[in-house]
Amino acid sequence: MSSSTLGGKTVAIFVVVLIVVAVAAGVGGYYAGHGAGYDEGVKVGGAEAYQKGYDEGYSKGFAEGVESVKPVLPKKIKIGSLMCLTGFLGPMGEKIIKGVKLAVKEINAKGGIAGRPVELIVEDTATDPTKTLEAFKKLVEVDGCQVVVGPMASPEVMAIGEYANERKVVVISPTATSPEITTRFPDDYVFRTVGSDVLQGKALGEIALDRGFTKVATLVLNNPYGIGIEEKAKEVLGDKVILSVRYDPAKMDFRTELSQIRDSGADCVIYVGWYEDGRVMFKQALEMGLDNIQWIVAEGCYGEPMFDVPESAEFMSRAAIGTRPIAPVGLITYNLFAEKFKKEFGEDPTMYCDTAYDATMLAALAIAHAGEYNGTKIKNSLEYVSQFYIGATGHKMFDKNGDQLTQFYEIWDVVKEDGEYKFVGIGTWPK
Amino acid sequence: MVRLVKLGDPLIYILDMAAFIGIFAILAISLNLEYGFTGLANFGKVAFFMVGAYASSIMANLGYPYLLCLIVAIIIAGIVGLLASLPALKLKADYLAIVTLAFGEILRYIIKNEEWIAKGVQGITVPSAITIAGISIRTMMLLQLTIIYAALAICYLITQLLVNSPYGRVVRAIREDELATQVLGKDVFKYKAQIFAVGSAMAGISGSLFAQYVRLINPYMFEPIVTFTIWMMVILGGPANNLGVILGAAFVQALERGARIVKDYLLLPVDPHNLRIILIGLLIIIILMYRPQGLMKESKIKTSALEVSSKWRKKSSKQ
Amino acid sequence: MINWAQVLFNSAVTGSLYLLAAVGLTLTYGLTKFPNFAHAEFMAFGAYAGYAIAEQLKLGFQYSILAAFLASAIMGAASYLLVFRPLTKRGATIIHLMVASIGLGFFVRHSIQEIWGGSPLTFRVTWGYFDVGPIRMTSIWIIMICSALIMALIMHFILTKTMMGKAIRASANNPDLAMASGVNIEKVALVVWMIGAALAGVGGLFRAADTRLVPLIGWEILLPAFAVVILGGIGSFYGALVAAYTLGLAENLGVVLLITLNLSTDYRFAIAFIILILTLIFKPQGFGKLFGEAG
Repeated sequence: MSSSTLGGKTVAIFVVVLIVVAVAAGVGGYYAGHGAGYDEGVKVGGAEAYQKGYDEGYSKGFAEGVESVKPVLPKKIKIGSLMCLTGFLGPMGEKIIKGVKLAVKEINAKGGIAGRPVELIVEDTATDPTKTLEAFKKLVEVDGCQVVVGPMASPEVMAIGEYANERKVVVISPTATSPEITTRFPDDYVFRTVGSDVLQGKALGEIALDRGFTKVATLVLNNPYGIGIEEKAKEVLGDKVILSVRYDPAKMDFRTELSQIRDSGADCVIYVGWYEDGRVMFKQALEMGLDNIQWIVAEGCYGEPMFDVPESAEFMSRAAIGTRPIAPVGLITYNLFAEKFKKEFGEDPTMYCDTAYDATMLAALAIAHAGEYNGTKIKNSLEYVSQFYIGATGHKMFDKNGDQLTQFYEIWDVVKEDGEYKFVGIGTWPK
Repeated sequence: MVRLVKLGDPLIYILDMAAFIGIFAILAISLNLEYGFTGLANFGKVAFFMVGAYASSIMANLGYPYLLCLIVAIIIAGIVGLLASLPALKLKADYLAIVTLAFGEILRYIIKNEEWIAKGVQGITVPSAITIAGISIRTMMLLQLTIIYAALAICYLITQLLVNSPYGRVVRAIREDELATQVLGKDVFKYKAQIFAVGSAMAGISGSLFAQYVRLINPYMFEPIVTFTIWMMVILGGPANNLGVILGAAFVQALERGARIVKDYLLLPVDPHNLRIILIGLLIIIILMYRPQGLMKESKIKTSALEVSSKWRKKSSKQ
Repeated sequence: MINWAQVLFNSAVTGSLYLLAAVGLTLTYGLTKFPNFAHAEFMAFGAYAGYAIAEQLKLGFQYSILAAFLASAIMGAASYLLVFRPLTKRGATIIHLMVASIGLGFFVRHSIQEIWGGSPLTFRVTWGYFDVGPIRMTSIWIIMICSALIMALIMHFILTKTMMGKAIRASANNPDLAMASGVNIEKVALVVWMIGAALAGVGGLFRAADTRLVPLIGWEILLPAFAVVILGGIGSFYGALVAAYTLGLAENLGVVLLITLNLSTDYRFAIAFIILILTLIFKPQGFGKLFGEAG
């Protein structure tokens, strides 16, 4: 027994005290902050205004007096946001949160919602469904959010959907595209401002058909996103699909899968991936000479980060075209949004910054229309105001399942101009 | 009339943390039984947790009542544990550790890729154990906590009974000196296999409770990091002390939850999530260096024979 | 039509990576008698040091290799001197050392994440590629294979012709006898830990250059590296040499088999694990016995 041991009892007491202090600090801090702010706001807004209204009403007539009572909104209106700031979708999330922040800034610049500022509370989900649920619970229970923009990944949305419905908190995801969200969460508190992949899968398949390919290989992420698209594409292509490969994005060695594609004699590959794995996939595909067949790529690989790896950029310029969800072409509201974004952040908006912006704006409009910071009322208002909202990505009306009614896709290509790689649009779907 | 609408219920967040503590405490006790008392280095703990979770979830999705799902989870996890242990228990401690780790990963790959088992990477949703409709969220949480802590209490009692008995004496002896115990005529292999099966069955309980609590499970939730976290709980809390490992579980979970809250109130130059894990890593090394018994030392064995003999000793000291 | 030549070449690449990663692991495991899970972070740290040199200071990739080697060597020395040696002196068991290595891994990995962030980083080097017959090769792959083979030759030279090398082999085989013969075991251990970590760092750097750099990069290679260590016989350098390429071949052939059988290629990693388990159960000394080294 070494002589430098710490006394058992002392250590035990120390740890127990530490835990108690930590918990007390957390809870106490919450009550101190929350209680002071919210109660005051309601008091000021409600009771005083009611008194004023009553007095006025007494002299002008009871009905008019009651009408001048302000809506019951807290002093600060919280909009929560669940974003992937780390993990697989981290790079995407860091850009997308800017769309949310732009919206919040704009709203506050115009005086907030009914004169009260919006407070944005962001939690990182680390692209992990379990952490997403925990972060969501924190936003709902500790911060008292009644509306949340996000989360980003489809499995994350599926992890929190039930809890959102139980606690009646509105969830608006700007990026989750899995068709499963429609089947699992119809007609409830889960909404999305991007179209379901039911359409994108079809689009990819039809593009392959249009261009006359008859020996198609599919190479997709082994997750709801990839599989969702693969299934829809297969429906369209039928027996033209000669090889189906699903891969785990975590392992960065795809050479042998790529060899199989090469050896299968396919003339076209439908590919679904994200940035991190996509870059490696394209780099290795270039090294293996697979740039002599046509690759049709889903929107997960659309974005500047794909050009961080030179081989990936070169490959895309030679062999890849793809789809991405867009606002209808030439939309004024999109151009306005893009200008504001550039002015605020000094860079162009990337994919999904626009749907995130729209999700936040819709949330704010719904709160304003509801007049009350209450999840159920906000949900009903959201369904209503979405009919009249034309945002950065166009008409954002929700169907009864909280999905978008339509979704347009741009067909893009990558070109090399003066040594720089760029994405360009070469068509749309549906035509 | 001013209506004070209560937004969010921080008590629920705390109860939520308590639920996770309960679930992980069961896992910690099961590992404690295997490693703390019997010296078996099980680095595949998450595999049996996963088996319990999936078995229970598949049964629940077929519509069976929760108690049945729980029992199935216990049985299947226990059997898988037993089967896995048979070839492995003859190995030295570090080999056992590596084999159990590799085994866990293989199981996870199977569940991940064989979609007919449980939809592979998409994961499956799980109905809650409590099927009373229309209850408030607070009541639901309290009911959940009741089940979880009842399970924890039962596992604690079973473990305490096992280790504070002649059986417990044997397994502690196996931990200290396997050869000597073998020489004394005990079938060491049989004891080890039994402990491993019981430990795995307990992990199955924890898995089943976990699945019906979080309502959605997928293979990404069962990576080796979970096993490592349980090991942290056991080492910090004190191997061979069940109360200690429960405290260890509470400490590690509280740190994780606390980090998310603390970041709103303290402006640290460091990301609290990273800081928390750096601290745990450091703490583990420090504890292993200066206080390897962990927070709470090994609990003294309390068999009825000892009690009787100690009474006798007290009597004689009076004279 | 399977391009077997390509499969063989890919196996050589995979095997080279595993060799670089496994040499340090097997030697430290053999000498200090416990599996070091922080070895993953030796790989990661070297890769990040290389990244800092190549991308942040823009000095060029050749210096990255040097940086990775040195940085990981320092980390290996620090781990041994500050954590594992003191623990061993205090009577820590194998399991204690294992858990400590996991704790050390947490510490290093999240420190890395704090400094460089958790997002994937890439090296902006364009590796040329060319065809040799039916085989597609890139320059980084050639570099990997050459580095591994050169390293193997140097190690062989060190182990057979130098005093330090003989001391290493003696200490691994029979530490008491070695000490009695005047070998300073602690100095040998320090050298082994430094070299082992340094090679791992270079391996990690190559992996990062070939794919991308994330804090968990070490863990992608660690478990297969363990399989190499076990298959080759713990503590045996030559065993690891043979095992690394065997496993590289098994994995790449396995993928061909999996695709033909219409199974997911995800199982390729399960191949290494199954080999690991079978070896430990049926022939725990692995290949080591063939080379006359302690298992």
